[in-house]
Amino acid sequence: MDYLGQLLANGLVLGAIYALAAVAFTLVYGVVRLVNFAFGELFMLGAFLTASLMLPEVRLLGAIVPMPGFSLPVAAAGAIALTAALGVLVDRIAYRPLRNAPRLAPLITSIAVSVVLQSLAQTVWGAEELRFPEFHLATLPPVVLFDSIYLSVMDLVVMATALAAMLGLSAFIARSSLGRAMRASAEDQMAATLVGIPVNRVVAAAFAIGSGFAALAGLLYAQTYGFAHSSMGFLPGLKALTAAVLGGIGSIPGAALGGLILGLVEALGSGYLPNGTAWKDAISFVLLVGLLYLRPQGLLGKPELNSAGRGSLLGGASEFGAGWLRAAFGKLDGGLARAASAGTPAALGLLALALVVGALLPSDYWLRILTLVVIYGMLASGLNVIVGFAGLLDLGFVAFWAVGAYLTSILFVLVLKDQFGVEPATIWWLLYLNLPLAGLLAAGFAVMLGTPTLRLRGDYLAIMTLGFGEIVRVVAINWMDLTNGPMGIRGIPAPNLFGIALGSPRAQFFFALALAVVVVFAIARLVRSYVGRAWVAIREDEEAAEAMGVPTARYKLYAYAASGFVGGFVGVFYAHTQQYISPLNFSLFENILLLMLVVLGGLGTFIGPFVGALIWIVFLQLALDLPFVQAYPETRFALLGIVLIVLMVFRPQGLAASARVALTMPGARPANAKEAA
Amino acid sequence: MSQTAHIVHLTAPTGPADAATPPLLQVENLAVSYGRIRAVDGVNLHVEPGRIVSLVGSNGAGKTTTLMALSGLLPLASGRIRFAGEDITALAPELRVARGIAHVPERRRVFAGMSVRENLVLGAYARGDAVDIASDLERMVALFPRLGERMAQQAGTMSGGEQQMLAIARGLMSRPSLLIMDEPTMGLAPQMIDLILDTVLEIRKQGTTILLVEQNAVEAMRLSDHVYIMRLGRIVHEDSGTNIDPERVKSFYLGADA
Amino acid sequence: MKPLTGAPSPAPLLEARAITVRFGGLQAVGDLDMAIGRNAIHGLIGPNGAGKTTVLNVLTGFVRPTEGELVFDGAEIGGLGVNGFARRGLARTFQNIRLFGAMTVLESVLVGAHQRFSANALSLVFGRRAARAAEAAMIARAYELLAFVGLGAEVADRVATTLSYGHQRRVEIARALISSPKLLLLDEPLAGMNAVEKAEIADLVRQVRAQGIAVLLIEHDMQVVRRLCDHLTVLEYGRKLADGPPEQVLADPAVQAAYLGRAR
Repeated sequence: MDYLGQLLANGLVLGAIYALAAVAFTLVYGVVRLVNFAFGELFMLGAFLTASLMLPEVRLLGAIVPMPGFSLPVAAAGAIALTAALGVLVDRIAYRPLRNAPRLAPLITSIAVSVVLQSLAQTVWGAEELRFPEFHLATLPPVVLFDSIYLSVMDLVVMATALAAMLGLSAFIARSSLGRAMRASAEDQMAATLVGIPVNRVVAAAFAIGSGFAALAGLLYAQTYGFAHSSMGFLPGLKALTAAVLGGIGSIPGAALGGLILGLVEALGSGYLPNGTAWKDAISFVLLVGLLYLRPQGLLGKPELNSAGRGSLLGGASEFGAGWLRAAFGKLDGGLARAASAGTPAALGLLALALVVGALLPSDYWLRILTLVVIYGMLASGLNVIVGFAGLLDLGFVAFWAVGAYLTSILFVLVLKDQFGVEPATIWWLLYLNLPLAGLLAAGFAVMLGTPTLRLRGDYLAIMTLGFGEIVRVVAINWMDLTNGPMGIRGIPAPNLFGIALGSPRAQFFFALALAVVVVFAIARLVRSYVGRAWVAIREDEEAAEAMGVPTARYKLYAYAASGFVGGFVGVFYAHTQQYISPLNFSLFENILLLMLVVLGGLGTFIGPFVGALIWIVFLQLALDLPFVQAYPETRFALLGIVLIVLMVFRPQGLAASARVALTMPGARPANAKEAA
Repeated sequence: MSQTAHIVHLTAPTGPADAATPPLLQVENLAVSYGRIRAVDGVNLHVEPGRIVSLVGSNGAGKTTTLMALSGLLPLASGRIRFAGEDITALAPELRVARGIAHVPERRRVFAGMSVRENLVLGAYARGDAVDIASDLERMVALFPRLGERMAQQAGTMSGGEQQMLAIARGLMSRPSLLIMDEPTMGLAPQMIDLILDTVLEIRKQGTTILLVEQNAVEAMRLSDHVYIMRLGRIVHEDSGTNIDPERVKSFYLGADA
Repeated sequence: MKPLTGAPSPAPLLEARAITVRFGGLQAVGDLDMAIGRNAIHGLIGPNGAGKTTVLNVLTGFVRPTEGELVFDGAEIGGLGVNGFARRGLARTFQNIRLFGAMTVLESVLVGAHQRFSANALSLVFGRRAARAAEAAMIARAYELLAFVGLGAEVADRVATTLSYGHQRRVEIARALISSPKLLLLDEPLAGMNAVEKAEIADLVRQVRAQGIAVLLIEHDMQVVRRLCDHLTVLEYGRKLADGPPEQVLADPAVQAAYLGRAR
């Protein structure tokens, strides 16, 4: 009983923090129907800013900067105000231009904003943890309830603050003029405009309040756990989003309820389940996935929020902002469009170029880099099937990649070598068997994960797939017997053909190219048929596709399967080239990176994923020669995020958008039609 | 087509307007496009203070589009809008409310999840002065006693007719000089239609100018001082309400000699 | 050009029996009986908010009726999903044209032929002859239909949404026709068109009927409705107000009152 009481108390503290952050998601979603993934980072900034303002001096950008050394309440107020202003700025720059864009655009932009903020925070405050300064109340002896439940004074302060903030916000929303205007804008923006409400300003207010709540949650979290770190917002951000969805996104009481439930479930789960603390994160995401499957609108939410606007990023031709930009892209587009219309010859030309480079490039280092480009290009191609062609924002794609990598690694190392003492070189052929096998396994896995998402659209689909991806990662970390846990699997043999080791970077590059040919060829054949047409039709207008006789649910599963197959297939090769894998290779960040590469290169094109991968991975290396980047390597990610935001605002179709893919089989046209066209 | 009829000497039941009064609303050469489709093309219209002016025509004629352009919800392809002597063509929609244009939209669009009182209070949002809200609420209750009984009720749970009353009252809360109403009787039962149309007359009597889009052309002609008939995005006919030939209107609605 | 379906027969093609649709507490359609003949051009008319689009959505599976049954070509189809309706032979166009954004005209039309393809993934990847032949046959059919709706082969490779409004309508009709439907449902196909274009589309509708395909038409332009349709159903407040040949229905004082309003 004492144990239970202590767990409940801990759960309440955690739940209070989740609830506060969940309010941020829910408030902004309610008004503009945007899942702002960047709230996790505003949460982190709240913690950093508070800690910095409380200290006498802080190391910023490597230099010691004197700080005012405020007490916690003053520092907190300052940090909340600064974060709120930043939230408004982010809305103005990154989201407002996309208010009428397809739903995928602001969602991807918010992911990019997240990457930018996290990278910049790491640049400014460094990669080390910043110890959260102790507040004098924290030195008081803990309060003891029922003789056995210990609560620190600060725990009580956290709960009281959260309660006061939630009640204050509820009263504000219910009674104040601005609060009423916010509710009115959430219900019907046109009617709100017609009664004279400046909707843009109301949205800015929602961002300010939401960001303030995220900052408050972040600083309380940092205070409770005693540190601030640039990646600290990631998991709590996802948890808060989970809490918001759990309660019914858009509903403030729902956010409070969702936060408390999540906090309590995590506390009880980690207390009572065997090895519970390790599985704590999985518990939240299982709850999220189950809930989205059974009751997507959440406990207190409205069902209509699970809807998607029609039209994809690629459908509407967006207007460029500046003339010079248009001119620059005009040249690029002309070239790409010519290349794409050449089709197979252009592809063969590119392949020949790659072969020549592979044969002549003297540097092993650069050959390794280029191998990585091909691998990421293939993975991005797999993701492109589901996101680019079928228009389903899958944030759990890395799981398929992981399935392939782990399948082959477990078989080669943990089973055959460790259990049976089989020397990998003697069973070199297993790799070639594993490639299709892992593809099929991952495809089956993808269908399994895809099935419950079929009823979901847009944002909810993204959140659910994200939940799946995280569950897989947590399983990979904690299922020691199967995966060797966080230590990963070492000694995966390099590819081998008839006893000839293909260990050299040059051999591996050619191996990768051969696989890329298979992957692109298979994807192209599927896309350039009725299957691809059904996918694109679903992406552009699911209802109209259905009305044309396309069984959309089945074709979404086909897209998952195809995408999963590629993930598993490439995963096998990846494991053998890296020779070491661990759960860290398959984080959500990798998924986000792949997504950014596809978007950068161009969704729904064959070449786009490779263009994105080439630009990014080569840049990643070249930039290391710059002294500034050597000092702050993470600024490269910030730059990628910024480029992506700019692209989303000015050219959502991506760089290679005009390398448009034909959706009919080559050579299937009647002769007279060809002439006419 | 009568091009002279909008010179307003014709029978105006109560309107104080005469030829010397400048129009409250003056629209010149208004055009609106949805993508490549020109929905409204070259519309000119005047609304003199104190009058009821109607825009009639079959579905798809461009009436709602015209109204939405007037209140700033749609961008203009061309044209100018003057209101109370001021060019408001480029003014943001919420600022037009503050200048005195209230728009009661098609299908009412009350804030369904909020109470009747909250809907009404929101109607006064653009005014910014909370002082007289209480007396305005009383005026609305006097106009629509039914709303007085339901102040605390959720707007979405009321009947269509009651929601229409609320939408009109919400528009009036901004104390507009021009009230734009888009199909206030759509989908309502006959008694409710009578009540709403009587209220339109009452609102005018209290000094608010009205621009009305109405499917019910017979009633629109009877109520209005002036009627514009639209077809395919253009104004094809206009005259005073009593002068207009019902057979001609019928042919616009039902095609050939009905 | 071959007829698209078999010869007409006297039993109605589509019968809606006692259809009622409620959204929440609101009744959008009440106790509607409606029969569409095998070779009819059937008009569905009524004032704004009368429930026409809801009825069309019921007839295409988008809205499941609260009560009532739908019999199409002798079989009950009420329980099918939207794609099931399409597969049975009900093809539709949309009030606000809904072509697929990034697709060319040819590709858009081919989506309508989806149910006619059956090659599996492997034969697609390996480019089997049967798969190629099916594709070639449908592409040829798409060109035929583009010509049928009055579009030249030169538009086939243009992105559909960049065409003029009138041409987009025609693409939408071709996309519906390529599934070889028994009934074509057109939701305001003449909206936003000038008199010449209207006459052309009306002519196209007649040609569709001449292929043995029945047509259900929602339309506001009564001049066209009067000349084009051979049967009208008039809705008001979600209920059937009148049903019969156009001249008779449009002369009905109740119908005139529904459109013009009643004097008090």
